[in-house]
Amino acid sequence: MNLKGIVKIAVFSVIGFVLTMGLGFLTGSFGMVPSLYLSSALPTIIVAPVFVIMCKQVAQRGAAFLYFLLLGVFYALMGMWPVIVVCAIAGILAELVIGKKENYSDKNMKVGFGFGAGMFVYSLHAMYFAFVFGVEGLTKQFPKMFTTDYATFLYNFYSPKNIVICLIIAIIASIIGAYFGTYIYNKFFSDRKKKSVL
Amino acid sequence: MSYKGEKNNINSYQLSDKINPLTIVGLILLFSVVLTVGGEYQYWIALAFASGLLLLFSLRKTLSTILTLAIIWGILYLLKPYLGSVFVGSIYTLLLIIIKFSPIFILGRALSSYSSSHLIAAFRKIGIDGGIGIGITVFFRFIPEISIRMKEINDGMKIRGFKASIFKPIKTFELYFVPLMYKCIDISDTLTCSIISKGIEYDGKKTSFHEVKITFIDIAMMIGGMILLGASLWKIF
Repeated sequence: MNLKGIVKIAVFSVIGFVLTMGLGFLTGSFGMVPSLYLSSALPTIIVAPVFVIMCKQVAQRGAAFLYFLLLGVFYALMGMWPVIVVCAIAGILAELVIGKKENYSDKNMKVGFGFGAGMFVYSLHAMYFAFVFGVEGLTKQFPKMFTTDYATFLYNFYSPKNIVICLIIAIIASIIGAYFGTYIYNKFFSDRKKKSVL
Repeated sequence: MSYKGEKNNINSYQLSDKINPLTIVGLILLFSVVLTVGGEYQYWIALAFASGLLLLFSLRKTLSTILTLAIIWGILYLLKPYLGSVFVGSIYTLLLIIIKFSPIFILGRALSSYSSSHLIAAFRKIGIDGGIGIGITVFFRFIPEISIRMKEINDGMKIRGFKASIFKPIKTFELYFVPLMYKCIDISDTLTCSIISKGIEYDGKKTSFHEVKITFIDIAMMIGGMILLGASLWKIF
């Protein structure tokens, strides 16, 4: 990947990170249970255009992975280091969904769906942590973040029924995000005449 | 013989020039564990440590940070009696998280005081070159820039008589974010020009105007961070 592509991904990933984090806080203000159901649904929809525009501008393989990886690195720098693993997996999945290089520059929806797939993985991070660490692990590893009551609540929240609801919400948000991202790109950016000389 | 700016350069020398940016990155990583697993004492030490470090960079930034934290603490105090409500409880928790991780945000603010070339030179020193190094550098330099760009867009909207509305989310998104995306594309072009003109594509051994070396202050700060980490981990094992 050339330098220009890397810088573009870095700039857009900062915007993506700020929006993802800000909208995550906004979702949290809806209350504990709604925020667990919604998880990253809002960022999935709102950040999709940022991702689609970034990928189409860079138009090189690896852009999606680097975007998600940088998101993880930023989270790690903000103290939330376990998220980097989830972001790396999300990036690999996004890259696989986008597929061949031509999809980065074509007007099709592959890039949008790539983002949807990546954010689907990302949005379930609370569930992974609950199952990977368990109640004891969460309270022992993150005693300042999880009281025993909250860790137990979180663990019990993810019943099969609630998991299905969370998955459905994440899938719907991913599809809406894919369409919205592609819509904004096609409306405002696809016919952009001004090209950089670099 | 002296030139006009020489005196200013000498006067602007400060202790922060002696601190390696990598030390602050290291402290951010250490504090991320300290604040997650540590107790109240560790939190207050981390907060004092981070605030003291920011003071070395800018008095104005330190005062504004302390004022912001004081306001958040005040809001938390006012919200405490109404914790029964779900909405208030959620806001309270979010503000608590911001307060809890404030030492990391303060260190991030200190790190954003370095120039991009200084940060890139520091990351290159430890072999973090290319995508990740540029990404982290852009992150710390671009975050303060976003609010400036958003303000420009806001002013542009006011002049043209456009108004954001929660009832027209797509229209509002188009008004705010499409110009921001265009600005991002232009910023990344400018950044690329700047980086190339500074010789990043040169294949030989690169040098930097900024001296990046580990000093006694860096070692002392890292040892302080390690002790804090050790004290935090001691409690859970």
